[in-house]
Amino acid sequence: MKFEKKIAKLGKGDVSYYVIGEGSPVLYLHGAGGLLKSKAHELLSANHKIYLPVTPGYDGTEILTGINSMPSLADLTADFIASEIGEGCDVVGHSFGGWLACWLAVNHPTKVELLILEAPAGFRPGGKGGLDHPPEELAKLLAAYPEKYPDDDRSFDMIKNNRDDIRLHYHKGMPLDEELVTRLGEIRSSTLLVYGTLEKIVPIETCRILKACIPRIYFNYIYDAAHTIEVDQPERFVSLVGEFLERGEAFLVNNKSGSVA
Amino acid sequence: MRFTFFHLMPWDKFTAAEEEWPVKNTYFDPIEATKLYRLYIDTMAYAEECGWDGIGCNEHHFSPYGMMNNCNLIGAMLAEKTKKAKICMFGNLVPLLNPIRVAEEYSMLDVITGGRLMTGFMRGIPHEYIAYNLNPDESRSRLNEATQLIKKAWTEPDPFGWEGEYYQYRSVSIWPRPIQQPHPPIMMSGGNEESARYAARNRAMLGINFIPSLAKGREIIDAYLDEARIVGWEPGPEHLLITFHTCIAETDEAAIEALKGGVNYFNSTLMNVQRNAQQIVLQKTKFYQSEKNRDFFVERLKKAKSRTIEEAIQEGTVLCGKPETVVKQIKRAQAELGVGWINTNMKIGNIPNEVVTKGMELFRDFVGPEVRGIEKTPEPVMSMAAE
Repeated sequence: MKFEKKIAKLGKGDVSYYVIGEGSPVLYLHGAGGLLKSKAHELLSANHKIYLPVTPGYDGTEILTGINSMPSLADLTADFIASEIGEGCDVVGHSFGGWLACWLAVNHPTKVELLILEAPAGFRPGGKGGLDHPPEELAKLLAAYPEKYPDDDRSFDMIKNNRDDIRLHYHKGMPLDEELVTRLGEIRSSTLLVYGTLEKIVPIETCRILKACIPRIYFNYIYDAAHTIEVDQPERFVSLVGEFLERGEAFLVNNKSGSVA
Repeated sequence: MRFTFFHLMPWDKFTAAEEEWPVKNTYFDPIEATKLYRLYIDTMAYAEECGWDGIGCNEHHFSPYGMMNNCNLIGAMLAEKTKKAKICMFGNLVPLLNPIRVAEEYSMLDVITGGRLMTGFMRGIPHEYIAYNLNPDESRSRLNEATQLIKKAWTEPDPFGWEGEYYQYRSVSIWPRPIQQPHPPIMMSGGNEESARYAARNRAMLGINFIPSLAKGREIIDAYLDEARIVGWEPGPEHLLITFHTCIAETDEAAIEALKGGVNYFNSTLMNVQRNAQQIVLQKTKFYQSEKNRDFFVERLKKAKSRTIEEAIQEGTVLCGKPETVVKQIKRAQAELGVGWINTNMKIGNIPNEVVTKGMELFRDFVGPEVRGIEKTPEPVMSMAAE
């Protein structure tokens, strides 16, 4: 199966996106490094049609006028869903994309069915963690197994520009989105929070905040994964997320034959 | 200096040394074992009265080597029979078990004892993997994942799920959680330098036993200290424990004579039945990741078998003699190894239980008072910084 590139013509402007797979729709919102098309997407696409929009400004695309904050980006994402997917869909957000997914769930609750937050940014009290590290050090913090990175046609400079500049266009480097924290209780979607046991970019306090504020949230560690969970442990990520997407909260109940050791 | 009293709970009436592991259980007499369990548990509880700081036991399967397939059950009985001694589970064979169950049982023991639990996270000896039908190649990676999962189960304030290589849980929140914070002390085995480094990376206490010489023990400890410094912490004597076969009697001659009998039974009977199963695992699997470590394990067993008690005394690898002699031996071990804990194994093989009890009383009256002050050993405190 291949990623198909498309353009969404929205009221605020064009949004590039990729789509892969067949099945119930899943919107995937990428992290601050831009869209990395991963093995996890390919595995999930066996049962789902995955929509992967490129946030305007990322990966060499144009910034759209008036889209300059996380809430406005959430509005644009809601337009994207309405235009390209339909009434609503399940949403997966990684890091920056997890932050965006929270705003989407708060301001456009009908657009979000199941919500999956993968090491979401925006909830770092005291500025713990974050991306402000020298490149070599940052690379080690992002992935425990960098050799697992998939082929990527984007240049190093493009990815660096995504992380250093474009993300700031939307949130000015704010470590803790206090306004959003006060509204997390409005999220009605069943939510799965996934977090690598080797995570160093997003502090564990993020999980504490989300656990305390989102009413129906399930917190799961992915063993032996750093920030880019999908790169380090794509099979584990898909095993967990796939179950949640398929069965919702019933994912808690084992329905497989065999047993745990 | 602190001391733990270790008991293997051996079946001490086995006469069919030619049998193979797993040993058929018609040799096991449940009626006799009822008495034996009672005797052993009373002996272990008596160690507290005799001044030991902790009482330890561990897990083995399918042979007369030890009658504890779940040492936590014994730990629970000791919790009830003691007041202040540490209850030392040295330990659960973590890769063979459900890690959440381990976390729960250890937490129960910690709470029941009011925070007296010391835990062991052991990989086990090779043939135990046949008992529970797990791949010995996976022993180290299972131990690694299970250790992290258990620590999370102990310390995570919110319910959590775990998606791992070997373990998957959707929602964990153990009741009770431990009383000791952030969690009870963890000891890991230092059978060789590789495992000592592994213990250091986990900020665990190091437990070494059956060393061929004090010099080798020193090498293992140095590897542990070196690795700890690499990962950013400094262990103290409170993190170092060494186990010795221990026999104390009125005279050196009596102690040597008793220990000879016990060690002979231990080596030629209890250990002997494991030889084939052990060799299969060692030769056909990657239980030891390096040939060096595998060879060291095999050589260590051979040496333990061929060495005389007199040689072992000379090398400082047993504690054996009259009280004055044992005091000197303990001082030597402490001086050469810098350990804060000595784990005494006194019921070696079929050594008579009266000899064990007598030795405990000699320890209480003459050994303990002389050696307790050699090294001030604080309580071991665990840190989560290595997570």
